[in-house]
Amino acid sequence: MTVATTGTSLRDAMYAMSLAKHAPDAELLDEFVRRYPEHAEALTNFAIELTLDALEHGDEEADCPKEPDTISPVVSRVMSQFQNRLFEVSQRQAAPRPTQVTAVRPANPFASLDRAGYRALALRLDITTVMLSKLRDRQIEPTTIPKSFCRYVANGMVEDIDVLCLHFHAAPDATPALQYYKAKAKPNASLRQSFEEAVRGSGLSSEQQRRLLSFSE
Amino acid sequence: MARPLTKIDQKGALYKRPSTIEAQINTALTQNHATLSQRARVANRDSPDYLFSECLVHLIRHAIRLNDQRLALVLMPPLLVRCEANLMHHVSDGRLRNAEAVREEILSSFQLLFTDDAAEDALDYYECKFNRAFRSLRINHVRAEINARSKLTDLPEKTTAVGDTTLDADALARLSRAARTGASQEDQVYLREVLNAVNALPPAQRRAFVLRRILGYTEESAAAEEGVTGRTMRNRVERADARLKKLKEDL
Repeated sequence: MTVATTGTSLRDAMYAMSLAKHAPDAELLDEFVRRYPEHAEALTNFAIELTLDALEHGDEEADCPKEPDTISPVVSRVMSQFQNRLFEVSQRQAAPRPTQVTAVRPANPFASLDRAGYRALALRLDITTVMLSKLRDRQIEPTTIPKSFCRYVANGMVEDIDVLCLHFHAAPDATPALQYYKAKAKPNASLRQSFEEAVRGSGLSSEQQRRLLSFSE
Repeated sequence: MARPLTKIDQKGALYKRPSTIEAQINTALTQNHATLSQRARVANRDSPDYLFSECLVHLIRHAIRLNDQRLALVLMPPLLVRCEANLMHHVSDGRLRNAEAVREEILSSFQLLFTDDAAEDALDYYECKFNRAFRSLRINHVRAEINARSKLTDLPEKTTAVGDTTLDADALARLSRAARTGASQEDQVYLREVLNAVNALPPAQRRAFVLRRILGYTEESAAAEEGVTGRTMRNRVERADARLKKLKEDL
């Protein structure tokens, strides 16, 4: 039997089910199985665990530590891991962003969209098609695009965020040879807009602009 | 202003934080390190200074984005202490032989979410309903641990009594009522015993019992869900009922 896939990870589906209700019921489980058929079995098992857990513990807020200022050895060890990870992250943030190191152009995740799909995506993301074109054509300087916005677009496209980031970081499409242009200067495809410039110059409403710019903390 | 969430729920809408959380985050974002550090350690939920765990998650993510390690390192311990308190309750030493190791593993996975680019967006769920998101993480770890050890609980095995019996109506009514509204204090002790017994059932019987008796599936739907015939489903439920009936007689 062929099962249609939604692209939603099992982890996300489980979180969504856990958040949806304190204790799942048949209706909720049916809804999730219908929506994520590729995870039907795992979600059924998870719903059973959630049900038993809810029965046993209720919806109580059992996170009040008796001695909030006391750090147990377990928490201490986990904090040590966290500190190491933070250090790695800060090193990564300090390192210069890799530029194009490969001549192989990553797949354009927008390429498979037809006209209707393209418009539907713009609607889903609540942006104009002009803004979407800038993303598709890599006209925005990738270092200025907030990660959370990438994630937002990736979620809207049901695409892997890494694939999308690779696309944004790839070089803009090569410019045609000079002889095809009448202007004295050859068009320069490497001059990209910043994310903010792109937002301001894409015919977005002030509310849309405000929302998109709030990604860029 | 609190950064918008990017995760989309099962109906296709963006997740939103509860308004009280959103308001608390907006206030906290204007406060300095010393104030936040002090507030993060307040454990009394009724205190006006108490920071919700959802808010702490947001503040730590925010600090990491700004490369403000100092703040992240100040806010993380109180959050982990709360998580540990939650785990002490839900994954207590009496439930699993290596409960402490499992608790540490869960906390470790939780802290990783903050620094793992591929998983960081899952923290959106924690900013909406912290405890429900955390229970998803907990349940997955505990179940994986139990499966890895190929045993369901540390309770002694009940004797099998196969027969054409069913759990009595009172017990079923209590279970399904508790599933919907939470168990009353009176029911708590009794239900704990029943649930321990349900957890001790063989996996197939356990799934059949929950689907049919608690979630309320019909025999056909439950069979379809499990990919078995109606007759197999009926047999599994009857066996589970028989075991649980024996428990009821022992209580």
